[in-house]
Amino acid sequence: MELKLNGITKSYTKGKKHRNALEDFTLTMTEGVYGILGPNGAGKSTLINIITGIISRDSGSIVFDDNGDHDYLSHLGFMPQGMDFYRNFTAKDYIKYIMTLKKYKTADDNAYALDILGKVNLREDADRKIGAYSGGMKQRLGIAQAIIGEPKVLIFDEPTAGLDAKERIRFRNVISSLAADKIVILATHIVTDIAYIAKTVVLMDKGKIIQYGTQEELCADAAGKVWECETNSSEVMDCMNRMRVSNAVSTGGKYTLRIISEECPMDGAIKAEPSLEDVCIYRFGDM
Amino acid sequence: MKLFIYELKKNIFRVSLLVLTVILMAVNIYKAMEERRFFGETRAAAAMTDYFGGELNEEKFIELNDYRVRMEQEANQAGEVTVYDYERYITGTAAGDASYAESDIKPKMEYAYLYRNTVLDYLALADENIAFYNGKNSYETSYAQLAKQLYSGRIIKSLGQYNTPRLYFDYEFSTLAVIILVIFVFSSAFSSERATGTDRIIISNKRSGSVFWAKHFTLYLFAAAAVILFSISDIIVFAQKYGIGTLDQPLFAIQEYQFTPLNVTVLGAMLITLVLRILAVLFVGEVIMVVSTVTKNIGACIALSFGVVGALVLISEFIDPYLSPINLVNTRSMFKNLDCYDIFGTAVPCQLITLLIAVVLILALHVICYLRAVPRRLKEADK
Repeated sequence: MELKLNGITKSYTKGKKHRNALEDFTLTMTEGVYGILGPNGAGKSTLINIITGIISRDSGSIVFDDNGDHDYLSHLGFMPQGMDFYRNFTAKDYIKYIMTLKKYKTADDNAYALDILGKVNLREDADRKIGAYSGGMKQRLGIAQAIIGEPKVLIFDEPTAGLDAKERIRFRNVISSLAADKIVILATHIVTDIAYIAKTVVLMDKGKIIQYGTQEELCADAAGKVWECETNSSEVMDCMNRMRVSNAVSTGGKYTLRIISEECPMDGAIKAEPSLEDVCIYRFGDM
Repeated sequence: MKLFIYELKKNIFRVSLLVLTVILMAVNIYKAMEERRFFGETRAAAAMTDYFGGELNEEKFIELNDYRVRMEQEANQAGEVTVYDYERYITGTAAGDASYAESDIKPKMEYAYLYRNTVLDYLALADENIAFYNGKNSYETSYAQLAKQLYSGRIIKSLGQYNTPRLYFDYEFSTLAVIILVIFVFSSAFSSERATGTDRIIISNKRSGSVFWAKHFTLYLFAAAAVILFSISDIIVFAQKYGIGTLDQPLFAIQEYQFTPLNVTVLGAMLITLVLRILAVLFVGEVIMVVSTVTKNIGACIALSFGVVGALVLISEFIDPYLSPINLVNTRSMFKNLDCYDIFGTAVPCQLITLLIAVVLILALHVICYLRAVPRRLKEADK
């Protein structure tokens, strides 16, 4: 199974201003989780909206191939950014509604809806009104509606916004369990969402791919550019203003800083293993 | 069909809507009772009309006159009355019966009996106008010809009691209540989908068109059902005091409608009124549907809907009443007289123009709503 994005370009014109939201975006995806990372305005949502058919592209093509099946829109599961629900629906109603939208028919829609809700651990709350759901439960319901009909391509746009740490972990686990035989695209600006589950990370900025590859490949590229050093509290702000600091941990009166720099940033700094967050800071500055 | 049911579930089957409907229905019943109290006849007048109602002829006048004389005599003999006797007198007293017979029933009988003469005078005037304007003013000629065509052969054969239909024609609050319900239900029709992100799921599944139609069928069904429900409630309130009245007589049998261009029975006019009110509500509904595509902020959509509908009502007060579909609600202004527009020298009844404007605006709003709610970009993306 393969999803090829070939030279996708999209631009917006507002008054006299012309802006390229996506510029010659080319990427080939196979089964697994693809994390698309980039700062706000990088073009992630534009890319997602084009793949899902919500907006048109100026040029380029999207080609899907799964043993001769080319209609990816019929095999698409999508969880939009900032998704919310009809408060007077129960979760089961909502799943059945999305089944209707997707024209997905089963012998027993109720049983199927319960089965889908079971996959995101909402089976026991299936008959509760969504208005009484917590943020995390709603997010899981969002995943549930996306996986209706066993889609081959799953797309999540900023799926963990507003979730607490426990729900984030739960979300990641659910996605990992679903990803085995699917192309899963995860667009976010939260690095940790991707760090644990993405097999391939795509770094985007200003509508272009800056870099892509496995986390190891990306981290290898930043090797030798991540430093750790200790400093006192009076110098922390100065360091943060002058240098790219990916992390600052307070230990007693001292601070341990992770600094991204081509050269040794200060006396006593030692090289550290780069993480995906360091790579993002290296590539984007502040996200 | 399933999508339509889900639209009903999303928009209609809500506790908040039920509560609002109950509140508006209660207010409407109160207002209808007030309308009945201030603009309906007294119970006594209605009872007298019922008593003397039926086919009109010379004997009926003699019967009425005899009754009046007898009641006057009984009233003079009885002196001061302290107890109402409904077994013996229609209004409870002899003096009441005598008074109503003279001041109420007699003029009604005269109107009905002499209506044929009124029409003949009018037709003679039409003939005069045709002769005078022929070759000089094509509009006036056309108007007179139309009047002659519409008013020929009109006759009122019997006296009827028309309180319930008359009040129904004049009472507008129930349509306003339905419009409030429509705003409450449909101002978030499309905005709620944008607010929840469901619109994106709908577009990615290529179902924008189906959802659009499902929403509109819901609007049509709700508008029709609500207008019918509130109309039935109005009629029950009016009929509770007057009975349903005489529905098989022509509309011009009601004195206020003596020059109505509509040659239909009172029942027919009531059904036309119902249809026109549904049409007016559909017009407002389509406006609200368009408003709901403007922003995803549901609160803003509701506020904007009230603003736009308020503006439409205000505008309709200042423009020619026949140019505003909102005025379809007002049967009296719609059907009281034969008013015509001069369209290239031909007299065209204003009511037809109002209907045409309403239908054209509804279709135009429908298309605007479609273009806003069903993005064309989807088709491009499908290629």
